Amino acid sequence: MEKIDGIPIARLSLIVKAELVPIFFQLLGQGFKVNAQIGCSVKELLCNQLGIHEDYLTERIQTIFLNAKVVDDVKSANVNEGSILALSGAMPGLVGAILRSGGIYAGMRSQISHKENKLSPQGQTAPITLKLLNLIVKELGPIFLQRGICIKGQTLQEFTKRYAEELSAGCLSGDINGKPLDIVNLQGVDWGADQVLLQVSSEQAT
Amino acid sequence: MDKILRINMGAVGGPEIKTEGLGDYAGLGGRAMTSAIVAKEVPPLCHPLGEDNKLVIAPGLLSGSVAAMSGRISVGCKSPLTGGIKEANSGGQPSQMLGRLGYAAIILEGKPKAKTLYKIFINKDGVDIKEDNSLCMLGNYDLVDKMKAEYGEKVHCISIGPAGEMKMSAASIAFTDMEQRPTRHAGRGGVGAVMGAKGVKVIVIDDAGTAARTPADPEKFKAANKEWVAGLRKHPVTGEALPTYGTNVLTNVINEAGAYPTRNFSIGQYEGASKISGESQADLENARGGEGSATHGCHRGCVIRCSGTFYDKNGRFLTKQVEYETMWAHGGNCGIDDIDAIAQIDRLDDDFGIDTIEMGATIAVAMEGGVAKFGDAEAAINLVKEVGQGTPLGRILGNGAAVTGQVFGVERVPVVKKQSMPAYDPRAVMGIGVTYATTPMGADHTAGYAVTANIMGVGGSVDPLKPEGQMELARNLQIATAILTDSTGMCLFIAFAILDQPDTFQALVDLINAFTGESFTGDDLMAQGKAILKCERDFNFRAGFTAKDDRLPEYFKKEPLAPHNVTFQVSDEDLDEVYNF
Repeated sequence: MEKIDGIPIARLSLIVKAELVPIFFQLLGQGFKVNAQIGCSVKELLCNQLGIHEDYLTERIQTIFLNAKVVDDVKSANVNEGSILALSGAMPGLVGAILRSGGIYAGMRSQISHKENKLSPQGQTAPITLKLLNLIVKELGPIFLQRGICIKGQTLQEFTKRYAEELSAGCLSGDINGKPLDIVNLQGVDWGADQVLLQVSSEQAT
Repeated sequence: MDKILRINMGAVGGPEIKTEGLGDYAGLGGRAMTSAIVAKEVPPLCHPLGEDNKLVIAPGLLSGSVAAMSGRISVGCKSPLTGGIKEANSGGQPSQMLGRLGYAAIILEGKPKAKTLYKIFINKDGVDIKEDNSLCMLGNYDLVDKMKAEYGEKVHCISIGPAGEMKMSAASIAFTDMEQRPTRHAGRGGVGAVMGAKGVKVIVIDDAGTAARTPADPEKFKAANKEWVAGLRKHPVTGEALPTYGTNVLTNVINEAGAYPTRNFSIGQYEGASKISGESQADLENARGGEGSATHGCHRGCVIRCSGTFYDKNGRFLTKQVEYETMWAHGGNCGIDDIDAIAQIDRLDDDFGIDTIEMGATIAVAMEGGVAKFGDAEAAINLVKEVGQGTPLGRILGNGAAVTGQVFGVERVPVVKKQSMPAYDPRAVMGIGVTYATTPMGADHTAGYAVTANIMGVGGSVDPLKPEGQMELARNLQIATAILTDSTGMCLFIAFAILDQPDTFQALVDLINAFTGESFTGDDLMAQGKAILKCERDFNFRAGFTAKDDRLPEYFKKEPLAPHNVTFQVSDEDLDEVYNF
């Protein structure tokens, strides 16, 4: 069984109709845990560890938050244990422009701009939280869902309850820790306070 | 647009209609027009609801042409909410229609002696005004249906709901959208109360038999418009984010930044934000389906299509896609995370004719004052209904957050010049606090929205990382907004495309020049923007405003905002420098 924070986690794998995939995006927006090698820059994490292409980072990910502060330089902002990293596309409005990473209005939000932070020892593996928002979740969401995202059992429980009807209609098959799952029973699974590794693949991707 | 329609509502024997040439107002549109007329013709010390105030409705300079995104309309007057000059603008169909009919402005002046309601009908043959007290206290939706039945299925309306008739300071003016629904509003500053004071319930417009306005240089105009549309479509904000999620795409991002005012500006992050985010809203709308559900324009000629149509659980139309500001005002700011409940409130706001930002901020202040509990959606719905019904409590709430805070003894009242702040906490994003504090309009997020001297390549370059750079950015943003969007009729959301893409900015300049036959440069446009702001500031000065009115409430300097634990730190001296040009 996989571990995060040293705690074994359950694995839920689902194969769903392609049109069902977007309803899982809100879980990615709320944040999910990723085991990462900490003590590196945001750029190293995103490009070298998570496999995001450098051009995509430059052109599509227009606003980056590290612990709720706007990152202007992905090379100098460091990822440490417990970091929360949120990725967004370009946003409308004056404040959207102000929040843009490295934008010309950066001075208008200097209070919440990310400043240099201490670097954890390199090479350690520790969980961080990743949030994918708006256009980024639309584009990268299916990839992360296929790889698997680690979320709280309670969050999953609320989600399966809220979307019981949609999941029942759109899930083709599933298993928990390798054991086949009857989808009609998904809503009734008690995940408790455990972390769950959720993997979602669309029928087209399988 | 070569004429102004002037109606004296207080003339002896009944309203007097005059159509006149543009005179001193030639070449102006939108906010440039409304502010010029108000500054010149309205005594700054007059009562906003009195006979000397005037309500000016002006299409943007390019409205009525086929220029994409040019359908915004401005409404100006002395504001009953702020006591200063006001320009509020809106989308919807009437701007394009008035442009095609040739009207650069409608001015309502004077005041009827008797308590009578009027309806005005405008078409290519002229203007007609009639008494119609049967319209008294009708909501905007029923009113528009009645006008369609009377004047035909193709008319559009500019109207007020019960809030405007009751002359509430939060009253808006509604403009019908492409589906003839009263969903677009000039919301801010109580402009609906001024229309109510003039005794005008509705202006019905029929543009049958008219054609699009002709540009001075049709070939250049066509080429520039093509470039313009291509630029908007290729940009990720105007071509992707806004059409996909609408303006509410901002919820998650502003919340992540810790700048999302929550429960009456008490903290900067809301735990229920993702439930009312643009992403969740789009998912819901897509799942429910229906025509124009998640992507829709608010007027003809819109290529961004950031709006949508909100259907209830049973698939019935409820309201337009709830905008970010509304979702915040009635959502996180009141601790409510139920999209359906917020959409229901949006519908009530539109029907009663109330500014959604002012109303949401007011309910949050009332909640802090103990009138209801934060998070109680049903209570919030009932409070809005009280406003529409005009109960004593509703009358208090309908006059905005400042009045409500005073009545209920609340210290934390987020207003500047008595107008409620929008959905960005100025402690986290101090630059927007500079705009809130210094714009002549009262706390307003759209006052500094467009592009700066940096992009336009005029007025020198600014170092945004220095405090003085921040002041200059806020100043230049206000100047550019006044001319490039508020006066041309262009939608605010063109900003990103012209910010990032120099060829798209040039296409806009070419579009304006090809249409008007002028040869404006960036410097010319900035000079016009400065002139608008100076005339607005001068009006406010003559109305009794001083530097002390260009301040945020004291608690923004004292109460740290979580999660960043920051306060607003821009000095009064720096704020006073914003208008030093």
